[in-house]
Amino acid sequence: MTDTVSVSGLSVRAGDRVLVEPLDARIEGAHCLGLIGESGSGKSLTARALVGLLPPGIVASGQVDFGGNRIDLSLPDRDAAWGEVRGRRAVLLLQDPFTSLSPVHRCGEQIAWSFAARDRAVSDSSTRLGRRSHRRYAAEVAALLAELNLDEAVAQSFPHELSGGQRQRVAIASAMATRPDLLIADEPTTALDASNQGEVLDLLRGLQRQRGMAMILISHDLGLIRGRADEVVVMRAGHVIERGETSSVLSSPRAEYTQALIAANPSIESLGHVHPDDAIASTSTAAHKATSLLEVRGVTKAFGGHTAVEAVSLEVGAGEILAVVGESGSGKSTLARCITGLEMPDAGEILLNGVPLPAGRRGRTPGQMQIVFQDPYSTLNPIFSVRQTLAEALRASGRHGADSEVDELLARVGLDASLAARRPSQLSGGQRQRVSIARALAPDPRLLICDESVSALDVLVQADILDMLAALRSSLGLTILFITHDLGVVSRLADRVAVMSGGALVETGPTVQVLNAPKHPYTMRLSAAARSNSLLANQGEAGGSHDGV
Amino acid sequence: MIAARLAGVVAILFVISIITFALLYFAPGDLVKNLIGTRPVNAETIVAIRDRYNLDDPVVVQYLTWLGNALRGDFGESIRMQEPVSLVVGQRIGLTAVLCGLSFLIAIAVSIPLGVASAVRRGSVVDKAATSATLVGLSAPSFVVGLILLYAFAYYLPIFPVYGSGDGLLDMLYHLILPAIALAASLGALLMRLTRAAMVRELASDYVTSLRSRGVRSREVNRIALRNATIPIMTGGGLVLTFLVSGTILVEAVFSLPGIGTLLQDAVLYKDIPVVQAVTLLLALVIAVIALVVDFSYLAADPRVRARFVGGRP
Repeated sequence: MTDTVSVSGLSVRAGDRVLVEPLDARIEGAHCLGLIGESGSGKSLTARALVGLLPPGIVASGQVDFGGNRIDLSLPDRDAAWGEVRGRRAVLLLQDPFTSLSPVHRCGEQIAWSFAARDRAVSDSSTRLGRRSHRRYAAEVAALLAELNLDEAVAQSFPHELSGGQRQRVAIASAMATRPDLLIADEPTTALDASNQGEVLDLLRGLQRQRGMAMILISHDLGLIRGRADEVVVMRAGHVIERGETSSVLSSPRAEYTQALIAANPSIESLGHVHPDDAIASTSTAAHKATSLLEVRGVTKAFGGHTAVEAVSLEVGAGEILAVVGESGSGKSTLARCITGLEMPDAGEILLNGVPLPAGRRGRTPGQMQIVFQDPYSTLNPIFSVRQTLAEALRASGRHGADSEVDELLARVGLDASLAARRPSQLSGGQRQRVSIARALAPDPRLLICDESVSALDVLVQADILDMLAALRSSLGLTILFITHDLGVVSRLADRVAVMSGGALVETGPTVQVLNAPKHPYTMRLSAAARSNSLLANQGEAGGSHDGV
Repeated sequence: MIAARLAGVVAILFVISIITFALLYFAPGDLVKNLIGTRPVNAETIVAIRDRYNLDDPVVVQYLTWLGNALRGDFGESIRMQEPVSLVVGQRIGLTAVLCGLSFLIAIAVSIPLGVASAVRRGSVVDKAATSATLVGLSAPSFVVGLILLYAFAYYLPIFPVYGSGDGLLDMLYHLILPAIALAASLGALLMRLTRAAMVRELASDYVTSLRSRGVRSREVNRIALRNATIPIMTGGGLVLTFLVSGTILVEAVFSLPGIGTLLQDAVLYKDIPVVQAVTLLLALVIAVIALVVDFSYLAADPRVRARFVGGRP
């Protein structure tokens, strides 16, 4: 069992602005503290302050105590000052496994760097990390990989050859290799697919307990924290809103904000309760049989030798919301790009209202369909004001782009007309995504395609946007094809679901039926994983005993 | 893919040979006058000269004659020196190659460590000094740098020779140090900027944060980041490497070095078409080969490119 870690008076400032108010915490060995908050709440800054790795211009103050060794958090970022802490005392595990590993080094070597750093810190020798010195740690690397259920061959692989889940396990291995007292995991599974998230988190939690390490688990997703953190701290805008034992905070939250977070958490379990949209869902399912707006017939698309989409056929009825679900790499985005003409399918046909559409964008009109992408930060032209962006979209669809038309579009997506003068950089993520939805609505499209359009947003914002999309469907009679990896989002919004795996469509049906009684093994696994991570699942034992690797 | 690239190189060389031939044909000046100089002229001599160099043929025929010979490996005879072009070029290529190689080494040896140091200590005195120095290197033409170096280190402080190429390899290196520095200045400045920009980006990336949080020492982290930065450095560096090849013409003139650059300069002035053609094509070939080498070095530097090249999943 490692030493108790206690943090006292940790605060973070940028100039005069306080980003994180003084915060105290105490984590015993083998215990896990959950840190919950939306983006901008200061949870990531707190994590980085503990290892002295704040971005330039941002400073921390306060102290952290590792079993009697006090470290001043305001020390400058130098090896001499922080060498004692980093690796040996605390290690940071980052969110995105696609960027947190060096792309040009083999995974085994990257894990070996941690072993070498630990050895040097312990023996205090000045052995340099030679070009081939990582071979010395081959046996230790192999043992660690085995503990993380990874194949031995992973040591010889480059990160790009591995899946997201495998990469994150390599990142965990490289963090564990230094045997720190405290592991700080900053949203360690947010970039992973639903079926991988629970597995990786449980593995992390298991190893941490087994080694008696303390852990800070940072997340925006309350469902993932449940059963995995002993205590939880809810943060908002740098303040601690609520703290306490995880189960009691989740079952009886005191702060209004925590209650809102829990209510907004998209949960697959909400299907079990009375669904407010049930009436609409059943009527539109009936309507779907009468008129189908979009028909996809045998669409196939390959890149190089790899088939991304294989003979996919599906139909979307007028006024229906169809969700396409699958993990990353399952071909769902490629399918969307083929439907919108951004990608040329190798084979197959796409029909709108029974009329075949030309492949590619030539010969199409903006009013046929529009797409909304995932990342609201890169989808808007940064030098255009909101008004310019929307006016351009209106003109592109043959309208005037007058101020009144722009205001009408803004009202439709629930934005105040006063925001029209702002640039994207002056908007929040949710506001940006509303602007990009408004832009897509400019030509009055028959079909709206949303490609993971809420995945990059915070839970509360996500819920608002999903409600808005449902309202747009009712008021405009919009048909929506919603691509997502999140079954919680599906159950909140979709009438029907199409499940994709490895480029093929494996199951289609009404949402309630597919989620509650999945037929295909892949859908079963996805549904089970989503259930165990869901907030409303049985509060007793920590869920996460699903199988499959 | 390799075959396609090579075919592209051949096509480019072909087009360049047409362009240089046409430019020289249309340029003002008369080969006959150049050959005869101030000697008395008579009609027979002129006819003889025009006949010897096929000057009365249509330009297309002249070009095709040259092309036919060139394809057989015969680049003709230098009109000015009355020697085979291959011999003339062969005598001078060694000096230019050593000059370019030396200045490339100097540029790399100075700019990459400086770029790394600037990126690691952004805003420090080292960074500011190095960045200002590169501004000079980038904006001062190589012949100006050459003249300043000559004045400072050959005339004012007579450490280095003023002109000439020396005898033997060591003496030649000694003679080539100042020209190589003059030639390396702009290339080195660009490389330093590229290295700094690439390193700043790499050092801000997640894997660096991860490495540092794991307690890996700054030195090692910088080494790992530099390994990642080689890809953008090579992209930009490969492009500016061709500067060396064209810059050598000016630098050789300033230092009166008998290399390819001065040969080309004289040949253009004299309308010595066979030499100009051969040297231009040689330079174009070198540039094409550099581009090719840079492209292939990605395969060594980036496993992701390697995977795409070999085929398999993107």
